[in-house]
Amino acid sequence: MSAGTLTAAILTFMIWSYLLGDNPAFRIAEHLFVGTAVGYAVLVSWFNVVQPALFGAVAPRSPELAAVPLLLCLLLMAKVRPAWSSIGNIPVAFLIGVGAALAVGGALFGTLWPQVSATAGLSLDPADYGDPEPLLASTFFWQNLAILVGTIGTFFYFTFNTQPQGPLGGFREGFTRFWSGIGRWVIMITLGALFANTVMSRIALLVGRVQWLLEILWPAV
Amino acid sequence: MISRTLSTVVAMTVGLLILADFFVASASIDALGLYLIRTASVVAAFALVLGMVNVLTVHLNKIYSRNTGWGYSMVLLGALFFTLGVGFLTGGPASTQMQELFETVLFPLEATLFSLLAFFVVTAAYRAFRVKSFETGLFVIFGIIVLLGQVPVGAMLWDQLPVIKDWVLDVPALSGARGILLGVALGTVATGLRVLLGLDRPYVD
Repeated sequence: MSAGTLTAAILTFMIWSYLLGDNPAFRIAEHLFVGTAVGYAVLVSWFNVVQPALFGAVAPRSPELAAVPLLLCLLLMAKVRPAWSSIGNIPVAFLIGVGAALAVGGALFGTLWPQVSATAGLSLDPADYGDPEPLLASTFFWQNLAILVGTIGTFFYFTFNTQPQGPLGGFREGFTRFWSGIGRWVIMITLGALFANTVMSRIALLVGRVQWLLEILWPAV
Repeated sequence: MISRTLSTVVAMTVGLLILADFFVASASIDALGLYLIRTASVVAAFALVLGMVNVLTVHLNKIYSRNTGWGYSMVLLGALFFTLGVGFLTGGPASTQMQELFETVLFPLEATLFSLLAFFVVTAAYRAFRVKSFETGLFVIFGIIVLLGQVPVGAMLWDQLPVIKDWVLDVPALSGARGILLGVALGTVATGLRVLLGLDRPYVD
């Protein structure tokens, strides 16, 4: 067994020791993890992003354009000192402006448009799926209807501010309550399925680690 | 005050220019948008470096004032400096030595920490799987179906269980996830527009 494998095995046991309660072995492994992870993240961001963009091949040809990220980085350093913190707000505002625009664009074109298109593209006509069965006997009809009802219901569940105002206020409130009630059931089913998937993924990781340990400790097994 | 106004102007200008890039097909706006996004990625990466300075300050203070757990802070800083030293001396995270460090220390620690969550998720499941209402009943029943439908024992108990599991994931779970995504996307658009229009200014101290 190599020194690296032995180290990895010892660290694995140190983390698992938490199952017996909080103890120094776990705390050491935990702090080792944070230190290494921070160092690794800094190295990746420095060598893969900052250095190439400011001094390397990806740097803009024009010195003025290259100066902007450098200036923003310098201004960001003011955040380290509380007295100068307000100067550091400018690069933070730059980051938040870019982030908000990307979030809006991403939500519109990456989520809303594809999801609405996928839902609107569902057909209730079995013939569109090559199913010769009549409407009510077709699995496609019921399946697509369930997806439509579930999606609309879940969407209505996010309507929290329905007030019974105006001549149709009561109807509107009842309509929203009906659909959001269906939505609540669908959300519970979805959360149940997601929770089960989370449990399975964590157990798969555990099995993977145990299998790895068994392979290195007893190679013949 | 000047910093506050300038910050708002910067956030709004930059944000609206990038948003325009989504809607306007123009080579110059495309180039400007790409430049702004690249600049933001450099600033975000540099913010990570500053985050490390913060970690350093907190733990050095802890060691200096001999606070509880200062020994662990020494372990953390030792690991941090060792990783940085190896990285800078060997030419970055792609070097052989850094790859070895990743496979020997970082990967086992991370994978084991997440595997440890299996135990906590199981205890959380024990608490969550208590039927108190019709809704929690749905959560429990469909959670158990999806759990058992993924393991061989489930198919041994009832051969239709994997089929039902697939249906649950393809129909009700899909529609629920789709509805949630639509709600989240609309919320994101509303929150993002508030920032871009200067109604919310989270960057001001």
